[in-house]
Amino acid sequence: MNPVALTITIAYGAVVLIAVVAILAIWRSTHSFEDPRTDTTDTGRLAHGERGWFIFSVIALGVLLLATLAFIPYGDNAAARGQQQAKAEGQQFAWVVTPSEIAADIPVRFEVTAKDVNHSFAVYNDDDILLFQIQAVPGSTSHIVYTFKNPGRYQVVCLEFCGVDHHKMIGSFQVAK
Amino acid sequence: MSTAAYVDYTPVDSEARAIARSLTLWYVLASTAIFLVTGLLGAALRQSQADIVRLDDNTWYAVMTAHGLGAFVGWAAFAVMGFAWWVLAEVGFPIGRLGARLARAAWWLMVIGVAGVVVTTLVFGFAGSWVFLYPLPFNSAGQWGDWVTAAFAASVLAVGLSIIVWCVAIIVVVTGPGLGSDRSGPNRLGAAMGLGILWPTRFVSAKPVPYPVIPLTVIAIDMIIATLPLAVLLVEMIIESFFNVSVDPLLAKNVLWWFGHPVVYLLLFPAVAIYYLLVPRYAKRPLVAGNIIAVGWSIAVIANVTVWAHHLYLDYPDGIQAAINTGMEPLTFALTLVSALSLYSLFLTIYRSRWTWTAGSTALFLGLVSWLLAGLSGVVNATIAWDSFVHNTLWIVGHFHHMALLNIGIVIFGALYAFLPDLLGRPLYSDRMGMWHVWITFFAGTAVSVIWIIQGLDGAPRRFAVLPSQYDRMTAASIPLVALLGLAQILLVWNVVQTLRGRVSVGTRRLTLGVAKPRLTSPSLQGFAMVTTMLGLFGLAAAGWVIGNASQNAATTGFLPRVAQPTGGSGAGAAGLQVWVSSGCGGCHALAAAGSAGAVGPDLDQGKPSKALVVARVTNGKGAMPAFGDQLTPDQITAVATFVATSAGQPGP
Repeated sequence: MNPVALTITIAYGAVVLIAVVAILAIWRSTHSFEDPRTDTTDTGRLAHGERGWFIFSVIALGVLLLATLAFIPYGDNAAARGQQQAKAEGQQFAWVVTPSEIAADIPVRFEVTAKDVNHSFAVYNDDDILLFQIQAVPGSTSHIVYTFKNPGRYQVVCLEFCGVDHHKMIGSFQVAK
Repeated sequence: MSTAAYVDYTPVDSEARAIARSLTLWYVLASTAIFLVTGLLGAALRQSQADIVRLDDNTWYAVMTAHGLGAFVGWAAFAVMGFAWWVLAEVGFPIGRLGARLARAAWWLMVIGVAGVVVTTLVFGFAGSWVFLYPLPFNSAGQWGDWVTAAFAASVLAVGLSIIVWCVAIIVVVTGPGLGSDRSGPNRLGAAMGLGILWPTRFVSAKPVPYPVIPLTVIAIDMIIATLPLAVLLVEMIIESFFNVSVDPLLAKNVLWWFGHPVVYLLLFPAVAIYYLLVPRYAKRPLVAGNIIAVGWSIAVIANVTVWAHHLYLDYPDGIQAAINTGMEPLTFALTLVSALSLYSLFLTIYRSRWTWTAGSTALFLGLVSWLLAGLSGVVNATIAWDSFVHNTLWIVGHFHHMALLNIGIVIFGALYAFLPDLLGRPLYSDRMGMWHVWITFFAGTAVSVIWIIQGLDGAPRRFAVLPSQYDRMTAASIPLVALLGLAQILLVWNVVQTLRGRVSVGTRRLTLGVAKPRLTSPSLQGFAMVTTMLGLFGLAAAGWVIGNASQNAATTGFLPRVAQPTGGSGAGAAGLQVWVSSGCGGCHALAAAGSAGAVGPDLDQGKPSKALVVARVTNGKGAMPAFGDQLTPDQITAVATFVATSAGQPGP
């Protein structure tokens, strides 16, 4: 499993578990063991808690923002020395990646373009694990830097719907030591 | 103000009620019919992926286009747009003559637009997806002509105009006599969106603005701002179908999502209005809300139309777009605060209340559950670092079905069960049948969404007519659930039809006579339903995990077949097949010997090209065929040419 996918699975699973417990508690609270019910609730106090919840939400989202900001793929794209350069051009319904062999352990900067319509340049390893993706927009050039650690075949998949043979728009390249 | 003001609003008089009743029924009946058709289209897509009855590729994408726009706008948006009329009548806002006229125009535009979309896709083969990413509609790879694109764009334009007209009608109604303010138009609009809660002396109204009016006002303002640029793009597309004009694709993409994001809230915000009206009613106490909720809606009116670019997180060809995208993350988070506050208010209104569990109220409760859980997966999408993984995978499909079908959709069912007796002036045929419908829809729908979410985390692409075989097992697992989801809707149809005919089930009659107690509402039975649902979902998640891991280790086919050991043929043939596969030649060309059936480029089995011709075409390209001279070595090109020349016209493996 891709490490990002694993992070998402764990984070989402944990938060959902807490949410489900809270939901069950709320559901249970609408039923009472006493009949007729005599308990009362101060709804004014509940409304007052809105402020606390608001602050909690702001903090939680702020923490998530700060914790993930460093992993945004933007800005890492300036050509640096020691990088390899590669080109990936998408068109209905094929990818042309040049050179077709890329060296492992050296950052490679892909120049991604689209000849006709929007495509998305997504690279999977040969175990079908998604490694990264970037949109290819006609008329614009995009860049993404990635370092392949393992030699072998890598699959290029189009992840933006591009027409009748979109799901067949698959290519590959080799990573060598 | 008295607490009763938040529970029992003073409805409009009987004449105004009659107008609202007729409008709501028209909207709801039309949208329900669209729901049944487009729901079946969705099931057809999934079963085709599971290889039961395989649709041909362009048909699959055409059905996808019709299902997307039809279910999202033609059903969900249209239905909540209709319930808005009834909600407004219930809280004392008469629709008036102008409002009613506009509402009828919006109905016709929507029906015509959706019908146009269905015809252009299913009959004329437009398959550009319902987001029709420009310039795809003009690059159909021979599947449909430019005039079909023009007809499709005109249909979507009708849908867009319907939305705008509906928004104007809503603004007319919320600033009208129901508000009871003699201030200027903009001031009345501010009061209707709840600013009076924050500034009571500045934004005045005869009585406190009912909470359900606030989200309706907010979305009416936003959808006008959001839809106008799209309408311009659609007009451009119609012109481009006949004349030589064009737009920058990146700009078009921004315009599309400028509309595409707020349209999600065209579903959610009117649904929130339904929650705000009905949840306090079932809880028999006022909405638990303070001033902060008005702050939330003030954020919403701005953030809703300024977060479009979070759909473009993976488009960053230049620094400007990258900067816009980065700014979208905190803005999108700000927008989730509105949901967080609304969920707090609604859940705590239910907490420890004397909540009545009926089909309608159960649907509302389960809708809130989905809102919370799908909202949390939305936070994952909103986080750029995470979105760069889940973008355009089936995770997204799982997320929005969870939100649109199991939050909005189930609220629509809840509103139907809650409002139908009032709308028709006769009791619901069977509340118990409604309860079964709601629970089965919730269980099966959630399970179907969870499977998509798991497949997405496993890297499965969305919008693939044919998924690679490593995802087959999970796809197959979803089929019984899709069938259950579909069959459950028979309960809805039967219940509505019988209610329309004025029938009452035996169970309902017994209840009204007082000889029986309501069933399916006891805590133990509900608890059982919840535990079953949870166990089912966790079971599916666990199974997905196991299957995902297993398929990862078992070297199956993958996106590209592994051709290390091709069957038969000489060594040169094996090398040629290897090149054929790894370069994706089969994406466009048919060649039986390679098991390829691409339909865009020439069929090589029929063309039987010579080796020299293949070498020339592969090296230099021609027309739509890209040049592979830089990507492949001369040896590889010779190998693939030999393979093609010798095996063209030969039967496949």
